Amino acid sequence: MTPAWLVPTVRATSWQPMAGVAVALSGVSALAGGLGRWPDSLLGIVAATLAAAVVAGLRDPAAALLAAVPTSAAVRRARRVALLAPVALLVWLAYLSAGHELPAARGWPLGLLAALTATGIAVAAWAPTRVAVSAGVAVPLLWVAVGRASHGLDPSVEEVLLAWKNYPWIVTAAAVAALLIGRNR
Amino acid sequence: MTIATVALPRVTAEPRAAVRRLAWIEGLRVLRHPAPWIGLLLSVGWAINVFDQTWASARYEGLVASVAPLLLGVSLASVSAFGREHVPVADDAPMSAAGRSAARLLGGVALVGLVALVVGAVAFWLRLRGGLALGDEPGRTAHAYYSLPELLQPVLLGCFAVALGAAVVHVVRQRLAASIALFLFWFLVGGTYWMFNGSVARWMAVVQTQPVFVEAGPRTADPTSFPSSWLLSVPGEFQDFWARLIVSPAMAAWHDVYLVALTMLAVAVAVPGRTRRWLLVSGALLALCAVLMQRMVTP
Repeated sequence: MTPAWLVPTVRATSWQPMAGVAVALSGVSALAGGLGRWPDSLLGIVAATLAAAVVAGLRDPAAALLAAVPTSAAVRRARRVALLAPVALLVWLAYLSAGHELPAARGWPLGLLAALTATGIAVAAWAPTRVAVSAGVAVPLLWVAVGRASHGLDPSVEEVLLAWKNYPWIVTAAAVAALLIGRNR
Repeated sequence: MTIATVALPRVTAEPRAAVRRLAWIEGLRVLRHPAPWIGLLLSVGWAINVFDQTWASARYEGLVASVAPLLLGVSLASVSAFGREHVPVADDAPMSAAGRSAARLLGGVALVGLVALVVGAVAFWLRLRGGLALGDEPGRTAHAYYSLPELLQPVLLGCFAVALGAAVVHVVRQRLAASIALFLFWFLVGGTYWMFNGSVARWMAVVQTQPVFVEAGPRTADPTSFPSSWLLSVPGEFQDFWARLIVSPAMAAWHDVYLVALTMLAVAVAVPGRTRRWLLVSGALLALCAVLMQRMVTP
């Protein structure tokens, strides 16, 4: 038996960003397959885009209306994440598996997606309500973009800018901890 | 006694002054948007990274592609401006939706100006430093300069970025989704430009990089036997032969025409009105013509 919240939440969730990213990535995979070369440098960008698509799905135009209902914002957010995250994981695995046919593809870096998604959701939970989802979407995208452009900085600064790549599980743990601390927000 | 008067008919065309005024306001507003400035900083970071690479045309190609974050910023500012068209305006507003869109598009010229300034500054800096390294020994120069059509490409890409942001937010109707799509698009065409610059794909690529690699001889060939004026690339992981590097200003010029056509198509999607059909047809024909001409002049 499906829980009562499932169908309304599926209908209310914004799937458009996830669908768009999935279609774009299938195009990239097809193109890379045609060329016989895997765009290894794109991995962080793809993970950030998927993470942003998950966070964008948290956008709830009826949030103000639902503020008075007994189901808290954190529970509603968790339900949306429970729907969106598995889809993002499936898209990520499909993208990586397409790459495994080609040289230069490396392993199954699940940590990249976990770190960026958890960070985005944590930011969305802690940011002021008016900009919560926008900030949650922007942070993983900006973090990866800045990490890619960083050069010649202090090594400790570069460590932070590339933490999503070098220490993904530590970042994930920190983001989940922040999310749990802010669960009542 | 009642005096009946006939009201003057409504003027259907927007006064040009109003469009110009709105364009000015939008232009100032998009320049205050943080995205183009953050994009500019990221582009500088990318460009600095390019100078670490040493393969034959790394700097010549990479410097062109490093404009991608700036273009993403331009597109995001455009999304922000055109996203406001989703806010309902009264039907009897003094300016029609098409007029407002046209003014926003004109406001985007400020962002194109920013891109043009950056390109001009880079071109000037390249003149001062004596150009870029291009090629491998014995066919190598340390003084390669971009031709005018190549320098025009990023500026036209700026026009396309404005129109693309407008078109995407017009179709997707959700700023966040549009922003994510544009992020993926610009990092794809800029960060992995090599995917779109194969023998055929380069005619339809958004970011076209040069030089063209033309096979000069087999891996075992003696490079000193090639004419001394040739720029060369040594055989490597992705190329099993000695290649001659050729920069074609003619191909770059026709690619610029192709970018104009893409911009026309994106404007047709973004701006409602009577010109939409004309822009679609002429943009498609111009794009086709530009692709065919690039094919003809490709070395």
